[in-house]
Amino acid sequence: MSLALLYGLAGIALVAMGLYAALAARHVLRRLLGLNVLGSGVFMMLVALASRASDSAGRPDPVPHAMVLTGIVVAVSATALALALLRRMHAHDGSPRLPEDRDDASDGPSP
Amino acid sequence: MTGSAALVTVLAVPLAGAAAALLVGRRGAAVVGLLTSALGVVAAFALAAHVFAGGLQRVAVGGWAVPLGMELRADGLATAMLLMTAVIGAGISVYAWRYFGADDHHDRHVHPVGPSGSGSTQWLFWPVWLLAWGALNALYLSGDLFNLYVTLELLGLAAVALVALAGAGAAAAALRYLLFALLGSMLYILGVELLYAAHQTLDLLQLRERLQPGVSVWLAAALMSTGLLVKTAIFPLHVWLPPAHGSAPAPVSAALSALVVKAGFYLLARLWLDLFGSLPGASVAPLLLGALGAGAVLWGGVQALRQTRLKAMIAYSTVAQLGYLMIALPLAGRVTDGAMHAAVLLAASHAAAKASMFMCAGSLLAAYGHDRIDALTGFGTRLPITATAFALAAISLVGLPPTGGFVGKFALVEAAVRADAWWAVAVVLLGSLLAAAFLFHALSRAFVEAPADTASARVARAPQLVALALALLAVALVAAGEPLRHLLAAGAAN
Repeated sequence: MSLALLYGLAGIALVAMGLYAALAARHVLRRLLGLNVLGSGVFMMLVALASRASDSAGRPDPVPHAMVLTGIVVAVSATALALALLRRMHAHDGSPRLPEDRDDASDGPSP
Repeated sequence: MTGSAALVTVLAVPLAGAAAALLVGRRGAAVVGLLTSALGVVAAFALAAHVFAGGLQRVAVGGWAVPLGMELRADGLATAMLLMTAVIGAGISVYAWRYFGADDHHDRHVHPVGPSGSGSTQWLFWPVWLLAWGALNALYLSGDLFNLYVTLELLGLAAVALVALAGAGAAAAALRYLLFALLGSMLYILGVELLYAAHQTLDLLQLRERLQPGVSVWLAAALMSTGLLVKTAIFPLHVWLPPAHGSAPAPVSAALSALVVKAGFYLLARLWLDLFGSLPGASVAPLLLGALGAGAVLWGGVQALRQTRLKAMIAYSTVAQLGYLMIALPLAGRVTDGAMHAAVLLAASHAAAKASMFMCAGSLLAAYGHDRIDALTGFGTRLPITATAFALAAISLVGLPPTGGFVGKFALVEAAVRADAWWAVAVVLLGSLLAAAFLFHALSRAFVEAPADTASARVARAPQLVALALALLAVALVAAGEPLRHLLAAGAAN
């Protein structure tokens, strides 16, 4: 098994875990962490892709690297905005969950 | 100005305006916003003139050629969307100027349309709105799958920030919107990655030439389409839209419902008509999108009928109207086809009518202090301008002649009949009946005699006149059919 394949498979595993957390968790912070794990998986697959598609001199493909860098910037800004909104919602509503997920009284850290 | 200069100007004006509005701060942000809007309209029309005369316009950014660099392209479809964004966007800017600026007004007898109290952050509308406008323009002009991802994210973040402007009460709606948008763009970028792995290019035109059918391409198509369906709020992934659009300030609701959701539709059309359309057996997927569209038209209509609040009803009407655009996809083989012509006409007249209708809702909210449909009695005599605008916008949304909505729906039905897609004809007619039911129910409140004790706040005239102007634009789009056909044909990429 080549290193690129290992990275790629690890990326797929991260994507699956992140997607599950983003969809199944009810605490918004957990969903946000899930989305970040999902993003890391995507970036890892891109890095693996870059080393696989290297040119004749063995240099990796620069385009996926540029994509990962841009993607990280986007992910950081989106996460910052989401955290700010989460704090604001928590201060206003007293719950870290979206209104449709607040069916029970306890708003503790459980998922 | 050359074609490429016009193209870059279209892109640069709103982005520069956003930065300038942020820098000048509270005092001058509105002035910068209005100036930028005027320039944006001029730039969009200049570019359209070039596309009309010279066909496809393209710019290689920084002089780097594809595939290492990326290209900006303006074809007929992109130009039509740019024009729609510029004209409706300028209307929204003028409305927002009176809406948010009313707090500073000296004439205290006139009740401000905008919410009072939270005025300290209201001016932030201008930089964020101009950023959203710039992101929309960048999205329409991008010819590169990754650049499209960046513009989608930029647009999503700006739109979420606009929803959050309504204050802490809207934080939950904004947060839900953001989580959906992030999930959607992650699915999209996964698909882009698969396409790049198989074909070593991100450029749409190059990709179309190199596209090899295979499992990875289908998986990529499915991932990208799902991500875009989430972002466009196509049934059954629409749940985030009504609360987000319904809880935002009136100019924000207008911008989101009229313009921002159209970006996802545009990308879906690009992908399925320009890129994946050449795959063997590819006609199944647009058919599936069309079926979702049919579901959206019916579900959105029924839900709109059940709403008791005006803004929620208008937001569900957007869910239904987006369905018509999806129905056009399986009927159109290429971007220049009749069904696509119908979809762009419908998108433009929906943009004008929906922006106008959310503005009317803002004025009614200011006059009555609430937006419960059944209690909005007698707004025909209290707010005659708003009532006229609301009626004209409703006529266009239902698709009665002589309006842009009528021409769009007529062209859609014509394309459906030509393609023997009778299910589409039935859905369009049924959806129009539903729209007539809920819109005319709301409109009927205008003519109910109001109890005498409800008269209180007077509402400023200027915002109402903007709503009327946009409603008249929705009607005037009845004449846009032929020019639009020429524009789509003149700017065809191939």
